[in-house]
Amino acid sequence: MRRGVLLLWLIAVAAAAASFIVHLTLRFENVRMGYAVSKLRHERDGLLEDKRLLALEAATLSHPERIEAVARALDMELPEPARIIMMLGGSAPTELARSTQ
Amino acid sequence: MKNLSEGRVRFMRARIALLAVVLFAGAFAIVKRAWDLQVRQAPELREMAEQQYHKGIQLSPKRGTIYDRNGAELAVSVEVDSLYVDPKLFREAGQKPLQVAARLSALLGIPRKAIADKLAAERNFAWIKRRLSPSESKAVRALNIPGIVLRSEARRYYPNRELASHVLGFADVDGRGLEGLELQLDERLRGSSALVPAVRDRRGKVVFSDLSDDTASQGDDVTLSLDKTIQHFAERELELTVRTFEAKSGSAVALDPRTGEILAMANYPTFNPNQPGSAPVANRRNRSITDRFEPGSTIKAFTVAGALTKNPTLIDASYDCEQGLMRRPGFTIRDTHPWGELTPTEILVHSSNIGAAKIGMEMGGPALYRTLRDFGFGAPTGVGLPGEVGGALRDPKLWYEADLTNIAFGQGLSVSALQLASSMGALANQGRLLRPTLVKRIETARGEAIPQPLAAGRQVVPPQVAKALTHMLTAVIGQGGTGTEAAIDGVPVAGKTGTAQKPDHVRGGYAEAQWLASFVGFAPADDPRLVLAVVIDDPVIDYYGGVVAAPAFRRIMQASLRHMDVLPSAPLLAVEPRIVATPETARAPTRSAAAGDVATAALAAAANRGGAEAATGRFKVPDLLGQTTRAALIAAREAGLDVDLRGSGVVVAQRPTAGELAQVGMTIEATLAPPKVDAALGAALPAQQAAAPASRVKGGAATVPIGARERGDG
Repeated sequence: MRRGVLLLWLIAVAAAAASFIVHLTLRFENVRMGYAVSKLRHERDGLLEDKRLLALEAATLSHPERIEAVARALDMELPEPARIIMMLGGSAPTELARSTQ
Repeated sequence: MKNLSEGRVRFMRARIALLAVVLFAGAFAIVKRAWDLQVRQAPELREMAEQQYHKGIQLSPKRGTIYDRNGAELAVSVEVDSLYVDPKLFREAGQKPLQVAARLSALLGIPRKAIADKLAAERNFAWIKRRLSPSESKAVRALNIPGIVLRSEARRYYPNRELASHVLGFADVDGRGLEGLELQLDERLRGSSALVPAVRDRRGKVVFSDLSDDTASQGDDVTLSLDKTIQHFAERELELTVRTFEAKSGSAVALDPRTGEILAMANYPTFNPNQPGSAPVANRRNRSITDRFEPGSTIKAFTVAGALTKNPTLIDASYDCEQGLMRRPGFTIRDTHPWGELTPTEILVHSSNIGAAKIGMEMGGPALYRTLRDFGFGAPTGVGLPGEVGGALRDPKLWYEADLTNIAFGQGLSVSALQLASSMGALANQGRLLRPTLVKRIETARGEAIPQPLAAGRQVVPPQVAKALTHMLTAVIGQGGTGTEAAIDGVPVAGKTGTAQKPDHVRGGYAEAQWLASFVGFAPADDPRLVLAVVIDDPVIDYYGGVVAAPAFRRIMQASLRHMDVLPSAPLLAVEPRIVATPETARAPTRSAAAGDVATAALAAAANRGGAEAATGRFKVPDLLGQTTRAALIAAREAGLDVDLRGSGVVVAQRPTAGELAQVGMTIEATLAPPKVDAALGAALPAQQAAAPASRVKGGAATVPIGARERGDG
């Protein structure tokens, strides 16, 4: 009888301890995940900002006036209009060109 | 316990009881404390905890991006560091203000005293410098001084510098739009600040947050109808034209007649929106919409359209142009040439003032007024840019006797370059006028599209009248017309030249030698894809619309149509000789050649030039005397030489002189001076000088009463 009660007590204590450990583990995991999410979010924001900066740099570099200046520095000149050949399919056609087609 | 003595048992029981009491007391104390914490003091403690852990994340607004129609960035905001000081924290850390100020001054280029004052200020916050460069930011970060804090802020960049600067406008250091679309769409672009609840640890790191959507504070992205490439073509050619003809300013507007979408809106002089303060305020004006001018002969197209709408049979009528001189009581109208009977088509082709005046008289004031109002003159287009003017078109009840005739050929009313392009768009769009639009799409940061109002439109003239006008305007570009310089090989072009004397606001009447040259038209005439208006204000070297504005029109139109894949590629083009100019337009090709209009061909030829001269590395110095800036540049380039131009006008002296041998890359020093109009015109076209009216020639003796002044057309 006494052993039975003791066993029950032990089981109850073990269950309580186990649930406490599970709770702590979950709690710890929750906090860890919170940090991980926060870190990833920070990383994502940084990458988005990098993307923005790269897009800005690309836009600056692709400025037609700059390209013309670089071309002139390389002794290139604007071709006569009749010598221009549109390379359709070679690059993405503009929205206006697409609407023409 | 049975074996234990009774005393020992009693002692043990006492100890057990004592232990039980202690345990019970302990348990009671714990429960009581728990009760106090969890129940009695719960509200205050919860509040304290929230204050400690729940520190919100401040989301600063990020201004939306502005794109062109193909997704190219025109205005972008990026995060940069700004530097501030917390003087209290700075002092508590025991820092020495003068020493730190000296170090920061060396890094940031700010006077030491200004920094020292901020470090010693009796407050909790003071900006030291905003929007640091990456190198400055890195250097300050490396100093790691307590109380000196770097904070991220958005900074607006315009990666294409001057490109479309008048349309875009600019935003100030706090991200508020000040001009252009940045001002007009400020509410949409700006976004809003937001505070998102978050749990932070002891070090301030975010553990949890309710940041399920961090796009809430971001401004909307705006996609414009502008095409970056066409905008570049327009700006490049506009600048070239203004500088070549030594004009005061210029504007060019290109739009798609099928939708009303503006593809380019260029102005010169211009400014860099990254440093708006570095340019004069006048350069920041979007002249395409804010400047109004008397349109001159370009208005004749709309007069004829109105007349044909009223009476379609007029297309075969003929009007007596009275051999170039029409006298009526109180006013006189002149043509540049003595024309006799002209049909409406010929009136447009030869740009006859008398013919247009007679058509206007036949229509009557109210009908002419209604026609011009229908085409959108006298009211803002509603394009959605700040500062747009509507132009001036008075009620016909207020017209004087000569106003009817004058307005019929483009005097006595004022328009903007955008209005001119928009109205011509109606003729290109089967008589249907569309409201010009700049904003194609607005999207929130979450990708949701904000519906845009559809381009409002109204039928101004019947489609058959628009078609007839297209044929007539195509003839203007053809042989004998005033707009031959606008012709493009392989593509039918329709358009109209305009040459208008500018009003003299000081003395009244019209200024003797101030002109406004314009050209407005569309192409291909049989399936219009692009409408373009070019307006050049106060050109010095020449002033005819057909000479000054039409070549710029052609170059912009040709490049744009090729970009739009409307022009066939080079191998498919059947290259035809250019239209031979008639005496009426003889000056146009001559002038253009002198001004270097055939630059591309000349430069291409120069690139292919080799031979013995190239082999020796020595070239003959070209003769630059009498040439304009552009022509001199081209001639020098052809010879493989650089040129140092001093002054403006035409070349009056050069060193080394023409014919001398020079090494490749050598610089020719050329001195320019304003040309004498008589001499310049006479040298270029002796035959034309006799035909030109006295009022056009500097020093000419002709003085005609206001309202009777003849305005020659190009």
